[in-house]
Amino acid sequence: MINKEKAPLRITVVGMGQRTQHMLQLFFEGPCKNNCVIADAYSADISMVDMDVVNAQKLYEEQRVKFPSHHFIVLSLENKKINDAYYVPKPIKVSQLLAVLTKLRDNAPVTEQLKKSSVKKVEHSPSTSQENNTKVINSVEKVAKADQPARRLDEKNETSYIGSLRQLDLSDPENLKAASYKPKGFLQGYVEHAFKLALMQNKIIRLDNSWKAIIICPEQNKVLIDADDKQLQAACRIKLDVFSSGSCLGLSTLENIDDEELSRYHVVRMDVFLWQIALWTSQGRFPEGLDLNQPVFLREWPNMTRLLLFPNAMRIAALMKEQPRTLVEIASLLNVPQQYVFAFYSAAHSAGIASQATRQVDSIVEAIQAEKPKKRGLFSRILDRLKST
Amino acid sequence: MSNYKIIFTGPVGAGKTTAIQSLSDDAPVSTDEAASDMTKSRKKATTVAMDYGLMRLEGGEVIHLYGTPGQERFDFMWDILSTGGIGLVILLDNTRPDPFVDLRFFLDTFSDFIDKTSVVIGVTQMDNSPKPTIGDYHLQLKGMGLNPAIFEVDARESKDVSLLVQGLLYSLDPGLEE
Repeated sequence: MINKEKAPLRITVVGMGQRTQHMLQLFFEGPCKNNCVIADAYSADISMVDMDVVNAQKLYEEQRVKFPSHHFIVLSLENKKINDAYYVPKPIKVSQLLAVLTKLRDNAPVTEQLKKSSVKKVEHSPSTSQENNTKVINSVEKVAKADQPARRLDEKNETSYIGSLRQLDLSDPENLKAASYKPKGFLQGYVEHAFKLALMQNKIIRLDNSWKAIIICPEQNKVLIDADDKQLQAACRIKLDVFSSGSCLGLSTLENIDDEELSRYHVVRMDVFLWQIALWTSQGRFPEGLDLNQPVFLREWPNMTRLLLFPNAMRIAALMKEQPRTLVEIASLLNVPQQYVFAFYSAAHSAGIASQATRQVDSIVEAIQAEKPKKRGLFSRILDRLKST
Repeated sequence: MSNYKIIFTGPVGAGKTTAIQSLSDDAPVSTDEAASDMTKSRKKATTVAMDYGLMRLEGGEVIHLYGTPGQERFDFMWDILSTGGIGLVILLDNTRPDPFVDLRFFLDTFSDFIDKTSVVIGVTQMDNSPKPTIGDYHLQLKGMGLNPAIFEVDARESKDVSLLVQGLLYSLDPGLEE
């Protein structure tokens, strides 16, 4: 097999025990010559599903909803009619599995020859009908319209979302580690993933977890949640490995919801929700993987009148918007604690409007060039007056 | 003592009069009259000369808040109003048939003033007409080579208008302290 210049295929397995996974691992290292590796679902390109386990069909459909960009390989003793999936019959023959993996790696459609062999592309029947989707949208719209669009969040108790991180010593690796967090390790990562999915599929997505459900309505740009801020804030702080024990987080398209259930939900705008979740999860930390020595840029101003405003947020936005700078530089220029800048970046990054300037083009993103004011004193006095409004 | 101005502009019914009212320390002067022309369908009364309000600062300084007349036939006044202004606030009504036309019109009309100062944009009536979205406005502006602050605004909410003007000040001077 295959083209060694390409990166290995990343495959996540569904419905397989550790022993089967170990066998697959040996297969990937042996006959596959390390051209495939087992990976977690979020970094994988391919989902391989054992269709002979209990609830296999459900597992398969959930995986489809969660990871629509994945290619699917289904393994079964019987031929399954599932669309857009490659069927490999059990007992698995090395040549058959290799043939599928080679095809996937070459990113080519299944050939007639392959179809004629025992590797078959099978039918998939969609789980949500258009009719059901429209019905749910109509129900959700009734609630969504009742929302106050200018919902304001509590601006007090800033330590609850800024955290208690102290000024960072960049030379201390432990300090650096403590100042970062992995969004995917928290509810934030799941919510971001569900948002992308809902927008991509333009379907109402329900994110279930062990405590509450979150319903994402991309058409209405709304999120429905059966939890108050306090509950949500607490959920944001729970690490996913604890949070998801027993596989209690799940994504599905929403097929039906009755009015009684719907009436329990609060309605929040999607951008407001993402910003809020990221702030509460970040607690003054920056997303893992960010290089503090590289500048970041703000693609556009956040919609400040509708988001949770915390001290210095407007100043940070203005400076970050002016030109790309490192987060530490921004904190220094504004003379504010670094955690405010980290928190702002985390929220803006989650909302998709801030990124690290890694390309040449990013470093030339510019704000409107206004004359540098000689009126700082006057502006400060106007600001004082406005803040008393 | 110097007197400074902040200019509010935008189409008929975008909320200029209300926005100035929400910030003004004194009862604002409004020159609204019953609309008799193409503006009638949008607003019963429209500003025929200008709106005026003021903010009193500590130390006795005064910031004048001027709203341009909504009707285009009074656009000769706009240059006069903007002379000596600190910056521009454009208010757009999202229920208008094509708010992007309004956006381009006002940015173009005040381009010289904006070049010398700065601009922020407030979009009103988004609760009645959620589209175009704020993201759509950003896309339009990028196509014009601009990237100012755009906030969703309810002109009746003084906090919204206050944040919009704060956005203008921070755009003018990001180093401004809170």
